[in-house]
Amino acid sequence: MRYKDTGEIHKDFHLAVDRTITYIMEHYGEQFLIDLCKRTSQQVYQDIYRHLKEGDLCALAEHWQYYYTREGGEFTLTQDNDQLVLTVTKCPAAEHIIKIKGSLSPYYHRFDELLVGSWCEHTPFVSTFTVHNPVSYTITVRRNHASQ
Amino acid sequence: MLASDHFVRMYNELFKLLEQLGRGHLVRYWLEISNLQESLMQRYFEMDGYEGLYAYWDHIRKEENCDMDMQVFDDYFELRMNKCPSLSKNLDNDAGLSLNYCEHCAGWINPVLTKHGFYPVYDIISRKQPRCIMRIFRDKKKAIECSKTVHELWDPYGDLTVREE
Repeated sequence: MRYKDTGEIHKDFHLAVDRTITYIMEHYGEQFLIDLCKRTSQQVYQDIYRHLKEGDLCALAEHWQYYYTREGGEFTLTQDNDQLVLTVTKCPAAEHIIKIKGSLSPYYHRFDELLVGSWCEHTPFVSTFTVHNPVSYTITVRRNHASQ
Repeated sequence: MLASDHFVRMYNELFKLLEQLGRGHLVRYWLEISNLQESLMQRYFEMDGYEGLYAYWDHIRKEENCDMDMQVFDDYFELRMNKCPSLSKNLDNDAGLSLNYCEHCAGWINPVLTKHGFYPVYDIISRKQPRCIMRIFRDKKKAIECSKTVHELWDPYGDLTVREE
């Protein structure tokens, strides 16, 4: 893994993410948020993105497994050669934001969707993001056979 | 979910995007986060003066895994960051460091502190080394005196500027 943090966790950063997403949407609009997500997914997480471009889901799977576990999330992650499915029943970030602030940014899940979408851009994969309730969602990253 | 450990790398990218639009965009974002910062610090301001600041940064020291030393003196509170985890992460960032990265720290903490009657003197020291010193005074004159002795003062809102009458 390119980044692998250890030690304590400062969950209040999730509040800053939540506030930032709302601020961007209200002042700059969705295209700006898309640009930020692309830079984050494709440049900050360059290693994951490179693996996806090469058709390899393992780096993304490892990243999700590590960080959802590290933050105390409740989730299942299944993977085969063509598909990665992350089903989150209790998102630690969303849960923390709701606990402190009462609700999520109306654009919170859109941000997550854009992050994953940016990971899949120009790769053999496509993603879907389905929200079940504020703290629960399913992300599917599957090979797009039509593109090959 | 963006991992909380990685928020600092995301906003390093946000700083770059906002700077492209102009300095004012960056400052307005700092002030937005400053409002959030104030709500998170409120209970510490209800404690006794510098001890409240100590308690707040002690909480940050633990949660953000900071290597830093803090001390309360008669006239000020001093925080010596020996290894800033935030800048360290962005020195280890495949997207590259925003060269004004360190500026955000005072950009969002200073308005909160000054609103509560404190005058921070923030010595960045270097924008590429993960260390800095912040001294926070109750007495503005003492803060101004201190600001003349630091290596690289960062006073984003000109709080320590001596204006001619």
